[in-house]
Amino acid sequence: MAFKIGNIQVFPHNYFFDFMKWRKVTVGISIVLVAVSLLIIGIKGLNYSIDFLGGAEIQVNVLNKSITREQLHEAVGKAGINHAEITTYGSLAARKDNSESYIVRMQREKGQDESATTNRADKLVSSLKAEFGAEKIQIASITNISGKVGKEDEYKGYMALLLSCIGILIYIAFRFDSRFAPGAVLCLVHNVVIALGVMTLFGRPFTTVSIAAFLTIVGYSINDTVIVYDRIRETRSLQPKMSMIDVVNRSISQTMNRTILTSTTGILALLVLSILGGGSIEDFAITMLVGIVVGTYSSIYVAAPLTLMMDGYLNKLGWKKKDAKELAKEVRPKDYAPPINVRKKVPQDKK
Amino acid sequence: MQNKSSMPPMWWIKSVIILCALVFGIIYTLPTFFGNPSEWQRDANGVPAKWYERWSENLLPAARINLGLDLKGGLSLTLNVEVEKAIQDSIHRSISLAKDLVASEGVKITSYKVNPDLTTVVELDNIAKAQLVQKRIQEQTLLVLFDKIEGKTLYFQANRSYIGDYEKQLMQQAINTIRNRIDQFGVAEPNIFQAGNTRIMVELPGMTDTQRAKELLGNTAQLDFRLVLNSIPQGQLPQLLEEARKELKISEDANQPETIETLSQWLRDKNKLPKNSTIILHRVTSPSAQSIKTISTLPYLVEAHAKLTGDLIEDAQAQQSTENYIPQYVVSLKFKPQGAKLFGDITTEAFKPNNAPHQVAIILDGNVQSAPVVNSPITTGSAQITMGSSTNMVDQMKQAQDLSLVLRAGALPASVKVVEERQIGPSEGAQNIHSGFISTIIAGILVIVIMLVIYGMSGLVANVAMLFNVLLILAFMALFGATLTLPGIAGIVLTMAIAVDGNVVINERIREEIRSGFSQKQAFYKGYHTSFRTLIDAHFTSAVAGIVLIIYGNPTVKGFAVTLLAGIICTLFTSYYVTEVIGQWLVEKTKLKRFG
Repeated sequence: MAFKIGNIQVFPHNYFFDFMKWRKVTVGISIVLVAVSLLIIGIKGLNYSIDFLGGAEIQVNVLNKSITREQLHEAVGKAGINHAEITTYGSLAARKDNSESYIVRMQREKGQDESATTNRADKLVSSLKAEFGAEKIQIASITNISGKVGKEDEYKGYMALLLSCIGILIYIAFRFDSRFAPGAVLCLVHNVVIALGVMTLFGRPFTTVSIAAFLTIVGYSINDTVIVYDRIRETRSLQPKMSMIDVVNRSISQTMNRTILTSTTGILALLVLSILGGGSIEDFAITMLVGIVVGTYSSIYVAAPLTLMMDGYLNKLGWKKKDAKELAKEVRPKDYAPPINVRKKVPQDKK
Repeated sequence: MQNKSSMPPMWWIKSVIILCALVFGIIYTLPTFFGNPSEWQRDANGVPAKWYERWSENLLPAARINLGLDLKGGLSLTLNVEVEKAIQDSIHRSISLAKDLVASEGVKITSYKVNPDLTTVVELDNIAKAQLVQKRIQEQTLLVLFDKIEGKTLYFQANRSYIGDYEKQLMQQAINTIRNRIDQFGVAEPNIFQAGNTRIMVELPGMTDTQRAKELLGNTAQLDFRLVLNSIPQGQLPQLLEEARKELKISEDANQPETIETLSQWLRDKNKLPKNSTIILHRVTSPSAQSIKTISTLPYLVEAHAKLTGDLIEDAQAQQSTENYIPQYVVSLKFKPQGAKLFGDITTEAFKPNNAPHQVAIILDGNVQSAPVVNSPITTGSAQITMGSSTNMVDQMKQAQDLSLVLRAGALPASVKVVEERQIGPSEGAQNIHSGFISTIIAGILVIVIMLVIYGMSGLVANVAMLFNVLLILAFMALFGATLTLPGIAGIVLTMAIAVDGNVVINERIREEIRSGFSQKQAFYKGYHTSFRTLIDAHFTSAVAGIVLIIYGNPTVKGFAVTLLAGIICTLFTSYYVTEVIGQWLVEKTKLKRFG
């Protein structure tokens, strides 16, 4: 087929790629990745933002980049705040007004449940203003959160993740059958754990926006998995005699074009967001980027091998094979004609 | 239909539906771009000066997309309503009333206690009339249910179903009260809504005087009146507190109401204070607003629970008092009939022999504001609070005005605390809009180019559908008055990137059908037919995550989820339905060689 603009085939259509050849290796890699992620999370701990821990966060814009981070650090120390953490904010792109943005984060002191009305942040703001003056710095935002809200939010975040997994599980169990469900859910867990691990490794802050990003990862990866599953289910009912491993390989090969294109557009959009978006958009975009990469991989190499495994197990029990044939008769449309390339390899019964 | 060029029967109806959606999208999106009507320039007749504003005011709906505070700048406060405590207090008040009732019928309740889990223990001196006591308590409150009798003790359980209702009632009352107070600020377009079970979120766009806002909303006055007890002379109280501090290792500077309550609790446990009493401080703080520092304290021994609370106040006014020849600010109070009766009872009780020196403590947020000596029982239903804590007249005036404002707007049924505050400068908001806008445009162009290069004509159709999709999402957001935040923008960009997924699935399917030997038209119809099920499955599973977010998220996350869900519904409509209708026309009526 000619490769011309407007009719480009990214992945050759008739190319039968034996994806499942490496399934043992990839399942092994996935297990290692998940284990390493869990280990990182366990050792380093999630970098909870003040959304969860409580404390104050002040965004300081340094106009014309006239103050260095060290100077700022010194000034904060002088104001009597010792454990403040200063980070650059939205650092990937230049700001419109040629200013540089810093976040001064003060965590709530341990053992003290200060309410948000504490004046520590206000005190710091006024001492910074006195130190540098309005022509050098600008206070862009002040956030002050007591630890109590954080705990409730954290609990809610975990509940939301758990509940959406359960909801998806129920839906898959209804629409597909038992050999598909465990793959889909393990795939989800796999994606979320690895994305969490990468976030922890790079010390990205875990905010309430991150929870939104994680739920979007859940949504995206299930979307990806379902499209592959759908094709497997279809191929299986059209080709009841074909071995399951071939069904899976063929389905993945057929959906490969779509997989490449969709993840490319997604990744590109997120790259733009993480470079130009700045601030809380940056956090969201970077988390989602990891999620989409892992999600695309896992819809091929986690969900499908698990489906294969479940199929083997169910076949051993010997109660699904006949069922698949009957299902094929029901589902097959009246004007069904098998695709030409399929027709060559596996002869069909004449209707 | 091999060679005939005829449109499918439903085509006209479908295209009319799509046109309607397009019109809906445009008229609901347009007003958002005209800005807020209150900021338009108007002539003498109140008609907007610019033609398109005049036109949009008359023809277009008023619904607009609200910009979140991270885009607009302003102050956002999250307030926590201490519902548990209010319920506990309410049970306490009811049992104390029941106690008075049964006392007149010759039964004595020797002691009662409300536990933090709202179970209640009532001890009687005479078990013979337990049933009467139980009946009286049940008459006074629906919040407790009778549990069991053991010896001379009655046990009550929390009435969970009624407590649920009562909580909702408390929250509604708190929201109404806060709304009344905000009205007095004169802030344009404030946003007040319940967030979570016990939290209220207040958004004040463009609010600059944050300190004052926090004082009025956060340190909301919970006012009550309690009798000052004299079973322990006032002079001994500092000594008792000192003792408790040493024992509990609490520093002398800690004078917060909560700390004093802990100390009183310890003293009560050790029987050094009478059972139903507590110590509350009269604190004089330094007048500077920067840091609150206690200058001097004076302890009072008062009843542990208030009989009269601020919600029974009808009116409050700040006035300059001319009494005593010293210029002084006072707040005059007028009670509602029920409050007037209770106030009468309290002042009458102050005259019982054991309650001399006739003092009633006026307690604001756990601090004694003043403890005037009552010269005679007051049954007229009005009283005065003297603003004595500051010698600065301007400070006094402001204090008196703030207090009267808070009281007039209706005191809160439960105390409220600021647990979260976010303040975003207006220039930062503009910067956020700018970067959000730029990244949306660039991401959109990238997706459009990729689709055109890979799919040609059908890619173009997919792009049209994607833009239509964004228009529809914005229109729905305006229709529901949703708030667009920074994460919301990210959600829209992501929707744009993933929206074309549906068309990729359909187009790939069409290519497959063409390859397997179908004609262009057959492949088109078959492609759309077979990919429908895939799309439904794929979108519905993502929607499950969005629905869970709406139920469980905090407001920021919720806003994001609404965008996501609206996105999914619009995506299904545009990427399947709209492209099908356009594609049908292209396939049937044009000489298009290839679609998909």
